[in-house]
Amino acid sequence: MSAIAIGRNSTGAWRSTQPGVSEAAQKIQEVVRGVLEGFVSSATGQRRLGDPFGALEAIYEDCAAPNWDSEGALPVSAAALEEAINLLLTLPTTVPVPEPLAERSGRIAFEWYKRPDCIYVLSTGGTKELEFAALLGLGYEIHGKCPFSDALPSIVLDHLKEFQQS
Amino acid sequence: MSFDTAPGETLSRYIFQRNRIRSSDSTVRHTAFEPPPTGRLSVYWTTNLSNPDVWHLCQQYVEPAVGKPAIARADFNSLHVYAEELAVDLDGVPHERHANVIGWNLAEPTKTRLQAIKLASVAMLVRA
Repeated sequence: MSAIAIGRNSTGAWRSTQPGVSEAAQKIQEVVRGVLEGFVSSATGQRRLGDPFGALEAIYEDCAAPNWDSEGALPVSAAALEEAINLLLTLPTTVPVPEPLAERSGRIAFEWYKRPDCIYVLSTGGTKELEFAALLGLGYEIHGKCPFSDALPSIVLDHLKEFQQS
Repeated sequence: MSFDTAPGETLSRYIFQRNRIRSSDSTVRHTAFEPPPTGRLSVYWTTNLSNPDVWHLCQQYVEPAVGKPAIARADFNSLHVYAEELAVDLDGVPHERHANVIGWNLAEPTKTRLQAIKLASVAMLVRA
């Protein structure tokens, strides 16, 4: 799915805010918006997108100012929020819904957690680069970076498969 | 008082944000152990202190600085800090039991995040 900026409209429904470049593009955008709104309003859509979007909105409201944790945390930027939304939209439905978290660095992390020694954290800062770190069982740990634009990087997908099998 | 006894020392990290703990199984998230931009993660050396005394330290020296009450703390052993190639600097300010976890390489954020995940994974959550 291409990157589409999503926000709440006055009725609380999610909407796309990215302008199209032609009549055809606008039509496609209308269709996509309708599909997304229909999906988000469904029970599955609420769990997969509505709840995480709400959590992201709360993170941005709580952590957009410097020192939001009274210990020198950097502000969460609008770019980080937008990239987090785009990342969420790229997750396949076979992947469990992650928990969004504000990090002290001003990044937004998504956490997948099974138990203390089985955890995968994927972090986005609005820089088109994802950072990952994970414990995937006893003695198996990974960390690194990968570029991110519109599609979920295959390395992240592989990690998430390993997480689910751990 | 002497620091660094053979079995390690108990360290306590006070927690003020609800999303730094998992309510599902009462465990600590890595975000509670992320170092600040200074690279000095504030903790207290709480070996041999009673539970009320550990909270008293928080009320006297930490909560006034943060401006709100702690909701929990994460207790962990200093040996786990050393296992992550980090160190404990007992600086004694504002209290003789105050320390910082130091040695983070902030230029390597993914390694730092993994270190925070590993410290959180061995920490024991104590609710206020």
